[in-house]
Amino acid sequence: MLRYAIKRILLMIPVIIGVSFLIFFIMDLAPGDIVDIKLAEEALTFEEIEQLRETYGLNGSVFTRYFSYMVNFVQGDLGTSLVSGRPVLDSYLEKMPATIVLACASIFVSIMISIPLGVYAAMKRGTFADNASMVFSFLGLSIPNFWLGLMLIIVVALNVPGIPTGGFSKGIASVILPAITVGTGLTATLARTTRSSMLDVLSQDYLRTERAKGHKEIKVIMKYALRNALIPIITIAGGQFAVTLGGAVLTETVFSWPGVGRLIVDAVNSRDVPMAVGCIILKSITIGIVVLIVDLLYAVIDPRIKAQYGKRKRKQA
Amino acid sequence: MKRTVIVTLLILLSCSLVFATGAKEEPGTAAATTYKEEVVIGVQSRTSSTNPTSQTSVAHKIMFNLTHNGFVGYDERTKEILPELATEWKASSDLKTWTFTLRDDVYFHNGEKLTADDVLFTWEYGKNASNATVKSFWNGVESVKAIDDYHVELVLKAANIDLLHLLSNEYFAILNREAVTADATKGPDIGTGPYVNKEFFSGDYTLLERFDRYWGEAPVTKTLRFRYLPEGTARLAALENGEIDVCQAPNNTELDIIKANSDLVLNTWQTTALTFLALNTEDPILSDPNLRLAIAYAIKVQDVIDGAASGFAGTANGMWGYFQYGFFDDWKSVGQSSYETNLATAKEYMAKSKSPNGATLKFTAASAWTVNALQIIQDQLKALNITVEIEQVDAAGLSRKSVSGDYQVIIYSVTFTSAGSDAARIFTPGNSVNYARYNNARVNELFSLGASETDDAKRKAYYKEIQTIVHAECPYIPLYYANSGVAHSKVAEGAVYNTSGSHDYTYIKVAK
Repeated sequence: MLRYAIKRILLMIPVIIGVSFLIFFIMDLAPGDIVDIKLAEEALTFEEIEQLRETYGLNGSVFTRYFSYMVNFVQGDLGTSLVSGRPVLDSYLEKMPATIVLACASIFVSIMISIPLGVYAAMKRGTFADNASMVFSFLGLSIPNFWLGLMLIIVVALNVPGIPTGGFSKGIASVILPAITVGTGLTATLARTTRSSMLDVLSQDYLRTERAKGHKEIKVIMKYALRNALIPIITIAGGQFAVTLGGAVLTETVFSWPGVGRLIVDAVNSRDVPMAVGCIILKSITIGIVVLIVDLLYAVIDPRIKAQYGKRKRKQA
Repeated sequence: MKRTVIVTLLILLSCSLVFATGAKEEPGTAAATTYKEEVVIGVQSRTSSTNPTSQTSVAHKIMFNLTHNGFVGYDERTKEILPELATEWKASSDLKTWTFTLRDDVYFHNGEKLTADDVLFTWEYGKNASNATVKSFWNGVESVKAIDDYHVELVLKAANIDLLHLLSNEYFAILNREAVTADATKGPDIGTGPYVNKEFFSGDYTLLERFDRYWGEAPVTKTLRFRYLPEGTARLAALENGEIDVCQAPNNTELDIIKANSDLVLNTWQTTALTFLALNTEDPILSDPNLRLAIAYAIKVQDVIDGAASGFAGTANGMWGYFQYGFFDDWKSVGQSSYETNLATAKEYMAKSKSPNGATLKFTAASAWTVNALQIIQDQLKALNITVEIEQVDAAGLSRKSVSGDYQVIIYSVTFTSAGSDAARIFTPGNSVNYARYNNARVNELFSLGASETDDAKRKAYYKEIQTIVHAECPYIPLYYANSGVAHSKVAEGAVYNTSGSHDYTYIKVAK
């Protein structure tokens, strides 16, 4: 398993090179640069504009700039923001706690809604309850995040004492509304995956055996059926968690949540290349690690996968 | 006996009721009012730095005004220059040498006393500032000489009558040599203002704490927290919820909610941000002033305001700030007329132009609401047989186009300062915000004359002539000044709300 993990980590190197190259070039293709953004606020002479471009190192070719960025990156230097003058890594790490809290809470909300809903729909397959459950889960996907967020602020925050309208500094209460907003958006996919995975499992013979043994239906479903249906559910939930760790821009804006999503969008809008490229590299690494952890979790949940890792090890020995 | 006891008890009860009633203070009386230790202000724009020499936007100026001081301040309401760190100043007859007398009772937040050496240091530091405006200004100062600890002399490379107006900008604040030398990153955060930078979490909040050795009147509120709430509806909800005490720039479409809430107070005004069309005078088609004037007279600005600003804006009647020194709009007195919709006049100019049968023009915008404005104008210009193609780019893209000259018409906004000379940046060649790429030798000369003219009447005459020339040649079509405002709880008082958006929260206090 360790060998597999190391291999996966090494595979992240070409991904990082590819992502950074792509972002660097896309940002170069976009019209305007950081100096143009500054010009929107300041009156400069054309000589000053040229000097400023020189200062920011924008006069060289995109290849030269990319090469010099990557040389620094290899040495652990992600660069400094052209807007705030702060190191990119510091800015990213400063936003990570808020992002992690929102991602965990959103996945919690999503799991709490989708798994019971998916299991229930599978058990009541083809009935009105099944259709109603799926329609309900789709509502979360269909309602735009920013609209749901605003509605929650107006309906809940203005009427329920102790629930703030946003921000990260108000403790656990401040995560409730953003987590519901993001979590309900994730519900549809997870609920459908749970339902279809459960349908596969429910038709298998071993469950009939468990029922014949006289186990209660709830035990059969929760202990024997759901556990075997978990692999696809974990794959989807893990992917959703990884994506949420990359930031939820609209929700972060509505709830003034200081996460990495807005950091990246602001960096792109202000053509802050080191910040945008650095954050996207860090985001790729985070997603890669989360996906790897999810893959490793399979072995914990499913003994057959664990046995496969062991078999490979023995074969290599 | 029993009756006596009862009567005595009744008398005592009555007395206690009377005294209890008497003890109740009228709301607002000084003795009874206690104030919150922390006031929270919900802001729309994010701040990215606490270093005053690094940013010039209004959102940053509000913070820097609280943490730092410059030589002088500016009162937008009275249009007066106010003493801050300088108590007196004197200019030489050629307006190049300026001598300032500094206060001798000013301390920086690190405990250092302000001296002329700090001004000298600010000049040295400012010449290499990351912000180009700040850098450009301090590089325009030939030398700074500390005459003694409390007298300093600034020698400018070129005469500037508006130097004090310029110096009243928060980004020309005086820094402390020791603080910046000891810590180049956080040193510039240390100023002489009434509040100290306590915590700064970009994208969430900035926390300022009262400075007890402030040289001026001490503020009542102990801490000020500026919360970044970019979404207008959420910002207003936070005010209604009591999470914040002041809501800057509420959505214009939600003003009725504020008016209907008896716990809230609404202040609205016309801002100083002018939205306009810049017509590229170097473009082969638009180099023709008759065509530019035809467009100007064909536009019905009120329709643009209704469509793009939901009706919340005031019509602009010239490319010179209405609040700016030397503003002139009495066009009839100089044989001109304002650009009010007059299709007959527009057609006359069109007939005289080099494109009498119409033209196809590309209009460029950078935001959804400016695209809305252009769509309305597109429709209006059909009357002149002008076909408008609308192109949308982002802010950086628009800026790049304006600098390179790769455009025909762009829609933009600019905020002038109160100084008359500030308009030079949009009318004189060689700088980035001359969006119309306008160049008129007489206009350039008049700006130069105005900058070194001490006679008020003469300077106003120069500025009037500039506006008359520009109005006749029409490189820009002024559209409107958008409205803005502030909503706050009815128990909040003491803040000064300015039309430029650069509000002063030094003495804000909120009753508990």
